[in-house]
Amino acid sequence: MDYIIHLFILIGIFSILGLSLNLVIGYTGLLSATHAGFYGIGAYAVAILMKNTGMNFFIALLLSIVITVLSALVIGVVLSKFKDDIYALGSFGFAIITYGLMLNLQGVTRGPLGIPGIGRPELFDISFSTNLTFLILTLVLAVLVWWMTRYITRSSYGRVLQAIRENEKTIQFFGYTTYWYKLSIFMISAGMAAIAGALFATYITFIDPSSFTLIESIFMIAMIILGGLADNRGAIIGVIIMILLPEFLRFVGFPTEVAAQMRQVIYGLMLVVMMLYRPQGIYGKFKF
Amino acid sequence: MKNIKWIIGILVVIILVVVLSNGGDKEQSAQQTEGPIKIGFIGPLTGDVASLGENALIAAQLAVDEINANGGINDRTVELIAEDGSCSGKEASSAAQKLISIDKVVGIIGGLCSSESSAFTGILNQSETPGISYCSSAATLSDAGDYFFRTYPSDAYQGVFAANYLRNEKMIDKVAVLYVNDDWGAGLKQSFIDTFKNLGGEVVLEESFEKDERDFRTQLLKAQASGANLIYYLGFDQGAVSAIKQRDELNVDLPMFGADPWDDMTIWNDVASISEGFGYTVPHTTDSQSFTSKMADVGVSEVSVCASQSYDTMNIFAQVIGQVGTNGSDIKDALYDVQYQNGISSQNISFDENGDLVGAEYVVKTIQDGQVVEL
Repeated sequence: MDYIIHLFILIGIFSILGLSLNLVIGYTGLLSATHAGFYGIGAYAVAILMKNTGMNFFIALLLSIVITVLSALVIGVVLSKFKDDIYALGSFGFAIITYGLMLNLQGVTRGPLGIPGIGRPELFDISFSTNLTFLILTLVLAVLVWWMTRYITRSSYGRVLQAIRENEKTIQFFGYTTYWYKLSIFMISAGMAAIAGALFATYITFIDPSSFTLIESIFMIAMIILGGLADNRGAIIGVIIMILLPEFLRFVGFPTEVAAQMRQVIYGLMLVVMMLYRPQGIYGKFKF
Repeated sequence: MKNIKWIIGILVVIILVVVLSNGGDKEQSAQQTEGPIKIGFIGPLTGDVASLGENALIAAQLAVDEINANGGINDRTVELIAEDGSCSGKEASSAAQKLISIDKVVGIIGGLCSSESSAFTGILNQSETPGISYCSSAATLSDAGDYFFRTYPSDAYQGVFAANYLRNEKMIDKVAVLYVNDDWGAGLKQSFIDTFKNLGGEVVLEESFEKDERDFRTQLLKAQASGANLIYYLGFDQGAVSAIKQRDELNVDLPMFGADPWDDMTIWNDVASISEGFGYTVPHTTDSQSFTSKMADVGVSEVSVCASQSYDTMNIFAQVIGQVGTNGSDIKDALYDVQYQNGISSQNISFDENGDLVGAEYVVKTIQDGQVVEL
């Protein structure tokens, strides 16, 4: 059972990442690869605050959201000037920079050694130390994020975002300053990624920079493209497939010598087949 | 569109059913009493360091085959179940969780990378499953809880040993440190520098490089300009070969000193002629000859670092399970008292109160007349 709970916790954490990234990529049409960076900043902020100051998880979580949103502001000020492929390239650069900082700011992040022994969350007398209670916490936060993304995308603000995706020039012509819209949704999305990072850090209780590489961003992008862009259900389905599929392949029974390699090959092949069969994703309303 | 939903729904149900039917049937007491004794193995079987992981897996499997050929443990055979940890925390924690709650393994051999081990020590302690790492050397793993052990010495020891040797026996005053920027390199560098400075030495240069870096010209020239007497190089085989060749090309006349990854003949077959007087530290192994030939019999021509520890780890599990049975907490208690004799990686293996290897011994090997000689 613990294994199933473990998988659901991972699904919960990555659902938050998928939903928040979908706001930027799916709804606004900005191909951002910086998401793993914000996920990492959130994780590191919580880990450092909890380890060094003994701060309660929930206060550390709020502070980490603030820190992540501020870093998104700095990055977004530059990125929001771009669009399309230049935007994607710029976001690649920032993903590499955030990874480089985590790796090399050794006084703060302990660099490649990572931060071990991060505690599990506690609230008054409730401790989320068992996996089941942690799953409940994760689900509560995931539902909160789901509800927020739903609210955002159905508001007039959300409609402007979708208009930016469809035709930025036209919506500018109507008097909307698209720069601010692109910047603000980028910051909101980063704040949500910080929640996922905080959960990841306190769940695994160990973080190092290798969990927040550019590849992890690509993994998140793949999740929401597979599920279907600009649809919350799509983001969740994409996450479920991307997390469960490789786990499922552990049970196929390949011979030991090739099992690990076969798992990756088949995983990749299945993704390719799914994209061939349904390029707009499962629930997709929009594709690049 | 309808079809897709159905397909996805069915897929998810199938996955859940498969996973549940494999292990959902109640949390029976972890103690198995019949059938094979299952031991889990976690290491990077894909990715950058897959060669080390595969080598270690073959060594562990070799030990299992020998144990089974000798009648198993208390008349039960041993089954080794390997999962890929990919040197990543996320992967390794899923692998450990699967091994423990689905396969119901009695113990886990692994992980290899410190990032793997650090990610699942919490799971080991919660599920009361003992784990013994055969390669994780991060100093922080000493505090990883009661159920985590390791047969590989903590970096702290090797750094201290190297610093003592260079400062007290080679009388080196100033050293330039080049280290690979990963958990191993950064950890070892720190323990070396701390000790070296305490002994009155001076670290005149500290430069990191990435794992896949092959151009060390800048760092080498900086080292020469820094006035160092020696370059302490902490990196792996491919990079080391490049660094040694580039040092020769640039006529940097500082000797180099390395650590355990240098105990790899592929390096010295290539560059021994231009490495006169170089040295490196390596954990003392007792019976490497017979182990190398056993590994050759199963098709491994180059035994890599950690393979002998992996082999010993499996045998330690077998010895302890033979004494106390398959209960996790009994095995843990027995491991703190274990005295494992005639190991390959070290003569006597026992663990201190942190689960660390007691009495890690190192030796220095040097290159003399194109040959690797143990001092």
